[in-house]
Amino acid sequence: MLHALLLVSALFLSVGIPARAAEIELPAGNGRDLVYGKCRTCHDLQYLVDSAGIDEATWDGLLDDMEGYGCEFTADQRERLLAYLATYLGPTPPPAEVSAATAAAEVDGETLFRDQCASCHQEDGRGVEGDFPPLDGNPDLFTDRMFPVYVLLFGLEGEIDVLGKTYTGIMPSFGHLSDVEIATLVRYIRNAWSNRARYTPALELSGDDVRAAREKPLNPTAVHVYRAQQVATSRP
Amino acid sequence: MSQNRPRFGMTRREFGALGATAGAIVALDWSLPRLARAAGDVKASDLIPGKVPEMIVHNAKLGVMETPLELLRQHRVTPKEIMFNRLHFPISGERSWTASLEPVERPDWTITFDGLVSRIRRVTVADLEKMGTTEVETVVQCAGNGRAFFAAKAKCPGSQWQHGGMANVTFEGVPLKQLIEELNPGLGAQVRYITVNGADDPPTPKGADFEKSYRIDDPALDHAILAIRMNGEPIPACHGGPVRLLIPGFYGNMNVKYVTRVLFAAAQSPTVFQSRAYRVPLQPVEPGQMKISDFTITNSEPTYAFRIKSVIFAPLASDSVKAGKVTISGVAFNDGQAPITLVEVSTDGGRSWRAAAIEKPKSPFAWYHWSLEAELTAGTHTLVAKATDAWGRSQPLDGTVMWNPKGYEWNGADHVTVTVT
Ligand code: HEC
Ligand code: HEC
Repeated sequence: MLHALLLVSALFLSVGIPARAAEIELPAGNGRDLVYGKCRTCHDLQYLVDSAGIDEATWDGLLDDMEGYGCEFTADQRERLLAYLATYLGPTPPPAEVSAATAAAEVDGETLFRDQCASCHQEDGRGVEGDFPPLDGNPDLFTDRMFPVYVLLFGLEGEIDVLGKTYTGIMPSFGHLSDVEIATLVRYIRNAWSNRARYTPALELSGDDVRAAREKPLNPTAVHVYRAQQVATSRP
Repeated sequence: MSQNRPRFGMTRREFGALGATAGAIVALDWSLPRLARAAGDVKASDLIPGKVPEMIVHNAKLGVMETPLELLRQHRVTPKEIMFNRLHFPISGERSWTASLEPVERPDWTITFDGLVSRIRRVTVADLEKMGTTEVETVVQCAGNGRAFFAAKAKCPGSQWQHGGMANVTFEGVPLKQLIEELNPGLGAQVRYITVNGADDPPTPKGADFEKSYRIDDPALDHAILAIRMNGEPIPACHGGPVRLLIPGFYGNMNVKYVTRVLFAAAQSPTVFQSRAYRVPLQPVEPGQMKISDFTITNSEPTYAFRIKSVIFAPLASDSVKAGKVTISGVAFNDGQAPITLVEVSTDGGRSWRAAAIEKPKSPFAWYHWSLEAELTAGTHTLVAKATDAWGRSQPLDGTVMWNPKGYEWNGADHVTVTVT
């Protein structure tokens, strides 16, 4: 009951809060998720959308340029990025129906984390002070069973305090990932690094839990309010 | 904020027409499925409070936005509320403070002069305030301004700027050369470049830092100032306050914001922002001839000085024009090295030309206003404007001849198609 009330008040608060981030959707296709994971750290996806139509050689050169600017990818990731960009944001993108029909392969939490999260939170989960909060040793992952799921599904925006440091960033939504992928990711970050010690079976999540959470009418600022409530109740 | 709306806003009709033109450019040669909630949803006024919501947002995360010409033409000196904005790093996280039109009150802000010098020197903003300052009215312009027009030949990646990545403002500050002389750091004999760095840092540990290098003997530096005021007030945070290097006549990326360091060096900075980005090839290239990542310090040069340019402010495609006498007007500018002596206007797509009346500005770096009265009949007309300066430098009729892989320095003769009723 208290839960429901808090969520409702969170929604009221978020009404009329203007968008400070552009949640830009790219055409569905193989490799899109990797683009979402790698290309939103330093700028938003409008650079990509506005460049749509350039040829493969230019995308290839652009990836070299991005590497120069500090974008990190393995050779395998680079290949997947280029294949997506040159196809779906190339001169002759396939029609929507074709591009929508791609099945997500079964992947493990570590690979998912490297593809989707490491560009901001870093491979070691330590984040970047002032910009991307650490996930390693972060008590917020354990205050509430569903909180990290909401962050991934809807994003997070608003000032937060993590391990004594302030963050005023914008975590984009990862709602494009499948239910199972999100459950796998949340299990992974709660078990990785020094977090393993805090993991309890009560935190276990399934794809069904994620599917149910998708129905919640949340947005990044509402998740921020939800977080504040959880932090307040867990650290009296 | 709401007080500013009536002053700077536009009518619903103007705004609608604007959306239509912006959309037309994007939809020109391809259509992407479901680009849901793209930039159109994010208002400039929510990114940087005080900016008008009509600004065209190019990258919300970086606060990149351009001014619709319908707004730009309403002011002789561009107010900060409608001035285009370009930052290289996110306006969230560590750099949230840059997402503001308010001045940065930091008298203790310190700039270090070091490198190949015998004495490292430091000055604060408070010191600069006490020194003799000069004020200059000048055009500021993004190197990518007009990039969208290169797409007629081959699209260049990046934000598809139209004409609104420019402004005409005043900056006031301490002349750089004079300051260096006064500080007397004792420059080493090998010094060839000055590299200027600012407090804006990339969001990740591997991120490239932004800094710019200039040849120390470049005559443009004689006009450079360490600016502390813009349009008569302390520089707003998003426009580079508390201190910004301002080199009148140079493209915007050269005017480093949040200056913290002036380095004297034998070579230019190795940062990719200097060595690979913001460069144009030394030799003209056709699409496909040079890869976007092939830029080196020997095959290209930085986007330093403005190419001569004119832009039609009226009538615009969004204006309703009645047959009869019509005043065609706009602005022209160059790098300030030679006065603009001629602006030619055509009302028939470039077949015949007449000279417009030119108004000489207060400063050689400000934009020149020009106008011409013409008789227009009902129907569709393509207006063209082209400026020439005392050194004979002019604009190509077809701007795509200056095509370059990164789409910088567009200066084609401006074309506007109007429907006269
Ligand atoms: C480490 C930071 C970083 C990451 C990660 C990153 N970029 Fe960029 N990107 C930049 C910078 C810096 C610019 C240029 C900004 C400027 O000029 O100030 C840029 C610009 C661009 C542009 C505009 C064209 C240009 O060259 O200016 C495109 C397109 C682009 N990036 C695509 C991508 C893609 C695709 C990815 C994911 C594979 C990506 N970026 C990831 C830093 C990054
Ligand atoms: C584009 C950068 C970016 C990416 C990619 C990213 N995050 Fe985040 N994340 C952030 C930022 C910024 C915040 C803090 C938001 C704020 O200040 O309100 C954050 C916050 C979080 C939080 C909340 C932390 C807390 O203490 O409340 C969790 C959990 C999280 N991220 C998990 C993930 C996971 C898992 C992934 C991969 C699916 C991921 N993030 C990918 C930027 C990112």
